[in-house]
Amino acid sequence: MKKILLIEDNEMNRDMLSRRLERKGFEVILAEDGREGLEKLGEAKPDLVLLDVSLPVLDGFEVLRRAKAEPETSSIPVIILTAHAMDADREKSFELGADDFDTKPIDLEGLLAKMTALLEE
Amino acid sequence: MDKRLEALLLGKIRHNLKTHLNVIIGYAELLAESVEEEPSLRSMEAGFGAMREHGESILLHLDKAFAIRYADEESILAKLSSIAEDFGHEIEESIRVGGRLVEQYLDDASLAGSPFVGDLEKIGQSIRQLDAAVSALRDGGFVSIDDLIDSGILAKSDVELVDLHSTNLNVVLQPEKSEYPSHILILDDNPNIAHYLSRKLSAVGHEVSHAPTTTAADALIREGKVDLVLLDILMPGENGYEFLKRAMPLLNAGNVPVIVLSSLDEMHTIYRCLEAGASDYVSKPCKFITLNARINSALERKHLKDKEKEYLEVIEREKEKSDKLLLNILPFRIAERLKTKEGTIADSHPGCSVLFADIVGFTPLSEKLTPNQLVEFLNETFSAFDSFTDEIGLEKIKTIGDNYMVASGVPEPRDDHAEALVEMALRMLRYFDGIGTLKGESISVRVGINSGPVVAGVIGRKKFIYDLWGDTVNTASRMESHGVAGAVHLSESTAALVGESFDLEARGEMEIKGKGKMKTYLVRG
Repeated sequence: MKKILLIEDNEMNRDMLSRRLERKGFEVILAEDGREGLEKLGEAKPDLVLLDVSLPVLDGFEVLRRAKAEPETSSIPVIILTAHAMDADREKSFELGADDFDTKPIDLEGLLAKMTALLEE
Repeated sequence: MDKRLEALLLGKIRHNLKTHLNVIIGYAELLAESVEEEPSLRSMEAGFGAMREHGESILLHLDKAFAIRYADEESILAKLSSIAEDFGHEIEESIRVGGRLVEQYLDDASLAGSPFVGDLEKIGQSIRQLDAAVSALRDGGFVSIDDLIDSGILAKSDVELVDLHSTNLNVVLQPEKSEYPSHILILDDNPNIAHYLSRKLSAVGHEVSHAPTTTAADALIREGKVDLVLLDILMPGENGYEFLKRAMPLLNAGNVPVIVLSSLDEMHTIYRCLEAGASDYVSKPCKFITLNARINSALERKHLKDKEKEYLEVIEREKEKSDKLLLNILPFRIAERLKTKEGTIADSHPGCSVLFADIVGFTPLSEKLTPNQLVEFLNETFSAFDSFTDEIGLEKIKTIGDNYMVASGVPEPRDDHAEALVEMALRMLRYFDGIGTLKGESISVRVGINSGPVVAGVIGRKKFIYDLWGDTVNTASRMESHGVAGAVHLSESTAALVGESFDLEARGEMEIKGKGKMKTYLVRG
């Protein structure tokens, strides 16, 4: 079973997305802020990370930067989740090494396709 | 207020509205999926589906309203008021219907106490929050950002977050010169987009061509000039997807990646294009720096694939070379067998003929020639013999000093193995007749042939040679050593095979070293 780390501060989004992913057969590990996300990334060694950009404590970009700078975790694919709101987010995400990008509200089919593509690599 | 910051704030407001929708759509979908598995609740699936559809409809209208182009000098508040004007009746209607649906299900006794009630309440709460935000925006009358915070459209933390973000993003990213300057083909019917991209791509070091139709693109791709294609989907005539399906083999042959340029609402087409073989896609309108990053990564992959292809070709060439070399040493069939696995090859051939030829007068001649001249002479002679073996279809075995050994009927059996070898011998004789004398020494060739069973093959591990073993070989050698200069000496077994084709002269019985008395023959022609 593929292990997904979902780093998302919004409780409802976290609940909803994790339940839907579990229904699709993923094991989902949750983190509520950037620091907790980084800790769980190191401990749990997930197969893929879904990372919200606007997070308390450490923002998503900082989490991404640190995850990609650490040899232990740099090869774990990261999909950035954000509202389409900030166009520059997308550039910044790819600049920092994100593997893909999805906008909220999440189209689950689309997200699953991106996840599958990255997990198969 | 800084324009960039305002744009971010406006984005944050839209984000907040969308967050409610995210909850509504997400939970409605979750509920629809959940009740599908509960037979008693399955009738509710349609209702939750409708809830989701209302959410999606609101989302569409919001996106449309926020997509208005405004004059830059307008303040964020002015922009917000024109956006709110554009919200339209449909949004409120959907909110109202969605809210009612939630109420109705919350009252439904069959759901009471089920875990779905919590989910429904979350949807209800989000609908109420969305309703409040939309109403506040419709009512307008904001004079400052603080008013927005007071009305709940923005949170104070949003403003702080945006502030942080804008400092974060203040570093202006400049596309750098590409590490892989390439020829990029823009396949797009819109000349403005083509012009814009062409300028930007040239600036980072690429050469750019523009094709407004797929027909124009075909020619350029076929010429092999194109390294990467930027492909628009919606074009008159053949569209991007059709082009991709048709041209993929050609593009693949040259490792030419295709990046699809598409609008956001063409998501299904994008999936299809990716399945058809496109490397990547970028949604329009796109920031050049994003496109540039995708192009660079596609070019990097292309570069690696090209290198791989190049190496494979080198390997293939080297393999051909070594195959050719191997074929020079070994018969084709034998070489193939050795390549597959066999360590030792020793095949019995019941009927074949073996010829030895020795140059008579070679020793006195060798004293008159320098070593180089001597080798030159042998090389010419044996090269002529080699071409005879090719013409007649014989198997040259080896040369030992001035002695030439050739076999017939191995490894491929042939009925006329003896005749063919006598033919070979006569050609050798004629070749020496043509030379006559060299440096005053008369030279000629002495040939012996014997026929019978042999074992043929390759043994050992180094310096492979296809060789023959057996008494037949020894006797053939004796025929040569007991032969006559300028003549072909046959054993009885060979003579028996060629008696009808050639005129033979019996030499009577003679004592052959190690063999005792044997009847032998000379070929008269």
